[in-house]
Amino acid sequence: MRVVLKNITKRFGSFVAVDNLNLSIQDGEFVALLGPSGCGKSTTLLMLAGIYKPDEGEIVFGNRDVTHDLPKDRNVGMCFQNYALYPNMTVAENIAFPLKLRKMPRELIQEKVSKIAHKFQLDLLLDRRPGEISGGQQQRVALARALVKEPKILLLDEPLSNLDSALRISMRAEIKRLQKELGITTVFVTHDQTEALSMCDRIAVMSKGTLQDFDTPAKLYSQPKNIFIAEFIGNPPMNFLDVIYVRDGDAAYLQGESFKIRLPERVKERFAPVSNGEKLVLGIRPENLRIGAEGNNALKGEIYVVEPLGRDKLVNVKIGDSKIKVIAAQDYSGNMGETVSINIDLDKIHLFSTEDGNSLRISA
Amino acid sequence: MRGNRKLSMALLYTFLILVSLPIVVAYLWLFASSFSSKLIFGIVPRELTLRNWRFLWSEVKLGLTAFESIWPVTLNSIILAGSITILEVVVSLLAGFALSRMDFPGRNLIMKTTIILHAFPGVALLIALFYVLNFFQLLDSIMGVVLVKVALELPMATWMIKGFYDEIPWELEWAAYIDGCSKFQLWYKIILPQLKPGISAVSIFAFLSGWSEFIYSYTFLFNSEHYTLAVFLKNLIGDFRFLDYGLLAAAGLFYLLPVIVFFLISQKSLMRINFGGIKG
Repeated sequence: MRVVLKNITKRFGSFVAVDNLNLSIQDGEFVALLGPSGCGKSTTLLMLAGIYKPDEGEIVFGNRDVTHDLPKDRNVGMCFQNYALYPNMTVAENIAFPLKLRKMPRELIQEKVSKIAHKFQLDLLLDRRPGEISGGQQQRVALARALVKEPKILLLDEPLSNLDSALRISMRAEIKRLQKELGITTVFVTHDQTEALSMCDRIAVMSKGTLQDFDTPAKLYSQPKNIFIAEFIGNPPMNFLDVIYVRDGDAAYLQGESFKIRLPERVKERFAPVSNGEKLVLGIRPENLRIGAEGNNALKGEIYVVEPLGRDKLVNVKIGDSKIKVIAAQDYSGNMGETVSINIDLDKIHLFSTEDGNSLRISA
Repeated sequence: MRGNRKLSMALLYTFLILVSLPIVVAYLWLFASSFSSKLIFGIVPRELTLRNWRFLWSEVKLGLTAFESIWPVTLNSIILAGSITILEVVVSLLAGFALSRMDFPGRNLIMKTTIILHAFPGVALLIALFYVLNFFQLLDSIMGVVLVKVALELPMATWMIKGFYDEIPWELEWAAYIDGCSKFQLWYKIILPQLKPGISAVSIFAFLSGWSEFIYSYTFLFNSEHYTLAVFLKNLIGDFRFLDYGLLAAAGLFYLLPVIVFFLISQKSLMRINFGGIKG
């Protein structure tokens, strides 16, 4: 089902938790609400569920305005971070609870519960209570309970945060697979960008109650709209260097404390023109830097520390007063204190305004 | 090392035994003297008899006074303690919910002052309460005593129940709403089962304090039809010239029995009491 949020605002007292949010989610889409804690993502999810009522704006499911509908009339399934299983009921009773409340005939409930329990490998746990099963099992019960009523929309509130890292990675794939199989419109709240990037079709990045951008993971990663998104998405995070934009006839340069890089014509054209001498922030991801290569556009720096990551090495380099991170090959042999030069892949750079943090990229 | 440890344990036990001895002796005396007509050295019974328990099947006469049968008096005690329990549980369940889950002006003030109310000595209110009960024509009525007792116990009970409400995560309520619960279904099917230990804790406290209630019953109940066990016991002592210790011990034991039984049943719930804290 299509989900549309129109001009949604939610206040708690004088605190604005969500500020004029507009989102349009396609039928069957898997969407992440991503942001640091307190950015309003959980509040948004609870408004979709009907627990909170927006102070302004409307929520539309399909063709129906559900802004003032009670949670039970919205046909959504929800899964919480702490699972919120009913401790006084067995696993089977937990899963059956939403069906019982719909006054479904007993045999039908039995059938549906055993079917979904089988799907989530809970067959042997049906008589246990939530306190007697592991966290991963509890989570599968919570998912089964959310899905047993065949909701039109699935809401997930940090469902993976309480799992250990191995289980989290396997559940990531499981949930993604499940969502595609069922084709159910899903909204997933997380503060973990890896989860959002790896699982979702589109990501809504939020900060301090406002939507920063709503786009595909690839687009958010390669063309971040502002410095917040650039910093938040990607691991290790993007490097930022303060530069001054220098024009010299037709040529354009980025001048830092200890370097001056000439921008090729094709790169220059991608960004909105700025006046000579304006301060900018240069952003470049660790994987778009190459260590050791001399050249015109090389930065000189000193190795601060080398972190072997297994697959490759993360080299921290001090350039003037700032530190940047560079991905190097596994066999890279630089040591602390050595002077190195770093080559920038100029096709992958980002320029941000220092005033509002927005990207200067001219969107195609 | 080992010897030292043994010695200190022995000392510890000796100390503990000495400290608890008076209480043990008191209970032994109570038990022994209720079943015998004479005691040697205070605790060794001689001449076993059931005569002291005669109040269970016949009228008791001490000196010039005849005492009413103990059964209606026991019934009064049960009615008193039972009504206090029911009323206190119902009201504290509602009040605890409001204090834990709802936001209203004055909530913090109420929470901070309720405990002070509990610390207030009830005896100091005796005369004022007499006037109030008189005004409402509740003097010499068990219900009057029930109301007074509940009013004074309620802050503590509410505080206890609030602690149990506080432990229920919001997500549980939200999940229930999303699963299709109405407000009442949420309370009845999800919240109430979580409160079971709280409810039993409050009932135990309320029942025990109702059962042992003396001063209000003694002051506000005049008619012997309304006497409770505590008052009955007091009257047995009444005139020291005719005091029958055997009879008193037996009646005292009779009064104690329900309390002991209650404790044995409810021990587990009592251990789970949590008073919670003030949440801003």
